[in-house]
Amino acid sequence: MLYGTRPVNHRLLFSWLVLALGSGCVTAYQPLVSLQRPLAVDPEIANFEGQKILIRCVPGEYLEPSDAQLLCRKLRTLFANQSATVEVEVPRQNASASETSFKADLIIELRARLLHHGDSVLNWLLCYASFTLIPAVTEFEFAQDITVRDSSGFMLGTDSLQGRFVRSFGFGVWALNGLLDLIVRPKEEAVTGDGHKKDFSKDFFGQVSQLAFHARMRAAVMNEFDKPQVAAPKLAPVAPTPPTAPPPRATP
Amino acid sequence: MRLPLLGALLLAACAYDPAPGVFHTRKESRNLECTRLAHAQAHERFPGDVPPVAPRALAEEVTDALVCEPRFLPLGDRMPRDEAILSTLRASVGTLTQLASALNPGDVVWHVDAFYPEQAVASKISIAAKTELFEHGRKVSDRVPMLAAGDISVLSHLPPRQMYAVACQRYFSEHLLTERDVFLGLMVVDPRETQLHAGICQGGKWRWVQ
Repeated sequence: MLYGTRPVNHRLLFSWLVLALGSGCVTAYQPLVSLQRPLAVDPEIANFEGQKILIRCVPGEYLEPSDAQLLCRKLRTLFANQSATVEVEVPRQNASASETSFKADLIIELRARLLHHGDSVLNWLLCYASFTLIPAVTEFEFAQDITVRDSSGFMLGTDSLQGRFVRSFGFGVWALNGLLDLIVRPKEEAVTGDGHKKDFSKDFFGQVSQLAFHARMRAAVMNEFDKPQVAAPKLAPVAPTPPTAPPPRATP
Repeated sequence: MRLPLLGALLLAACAYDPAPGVFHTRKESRNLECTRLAHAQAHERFPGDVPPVAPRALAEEVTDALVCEPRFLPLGDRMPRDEAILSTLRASVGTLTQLASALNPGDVVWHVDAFYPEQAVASKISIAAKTELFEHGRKVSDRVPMLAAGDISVLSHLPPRQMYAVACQRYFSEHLLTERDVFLGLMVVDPRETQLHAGICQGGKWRWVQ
């Protein structure tokens, strides 16, 4: 036996491999700014009847062209389900917006930015050294900047939706959260699984619908309701009187 | 290496993370409003919680802090539309009164009313607008012009395009407003909105502000 070398502990190596391979990821989503704002619009009803909407998903450093295509496709479905006629456009990186024959009432432009990325090598080393009992935590903070304009370029609405994803890798965190989900937490509070994706999609698509609806109403008001764009809503009282209108439908 | 101790330390650090997990529920996390601040800015705002920037910090070292504050009222305590409007009331009413003020810089008396289905929220909107105008040196009246029941009955059947314009004409023809009065109306035009619109009535003519 050579000086300084030690026999390989096969049992230790085996348990390390089992734990490393058996480890899971727990991803948590946390809305930061605007994403958790309450909604009055229901994205499942016809909110954009007779409206033509052009959706432009601009690729950038944080949004690959293929992801921009996917985002635009999902938004097309979202607004088509709300009775709008939708066109999508994914401009090439660093290229100006192309001319299109589609005369849109609303032009929605989306850009993504990465605000913060947290990932520590030391944390990963500790994670593996501890047989993944200590979790390795990776964090992404992003902003989705949305602007809505009319066909002449007049700004009707803008917002920056910001959120955060925290991904924890390790057997300890996965098993602990799995147990808590199984025994303690109600189903709507479960942390493991794809709840984070559902929560984010619900927030994001809801806020985009609300912003587009605000833009539509702002256009109608600024044009003094010239075009019969919006069906007459249940009227609010003109003079102070007891409340008459029904409460808005809560978004599911 | 004392791995259990390190694990305990890391777990303790996780308690400070506002993301949902072992220490925070998804509901609790949604009721926080968080923004990321630069280290120096975070120390300036929260000197007790954030230590000062080290004088010999590495130039390439990026240090920042995620600052979270609980919402004034948890989500779900109020109707979604009321919550959305009231949580941004100061900013939205500030913008609208500023725009309205700019359209009427003269020496006029302002009358304010809010048209919102929930009377308690309508009062809050109206008071916020009056306060904003008053803080900017405007003459504000507590009187709200009241139309007769017959007028209200007719107006309530008109679409918003006509309703406010006709009401404005009636205010003027009934001498509820004079040439030296300006009426600022704040309203939600559609029940699916969480934003306020505003219009002004002067000399019997209605004009949308936003």
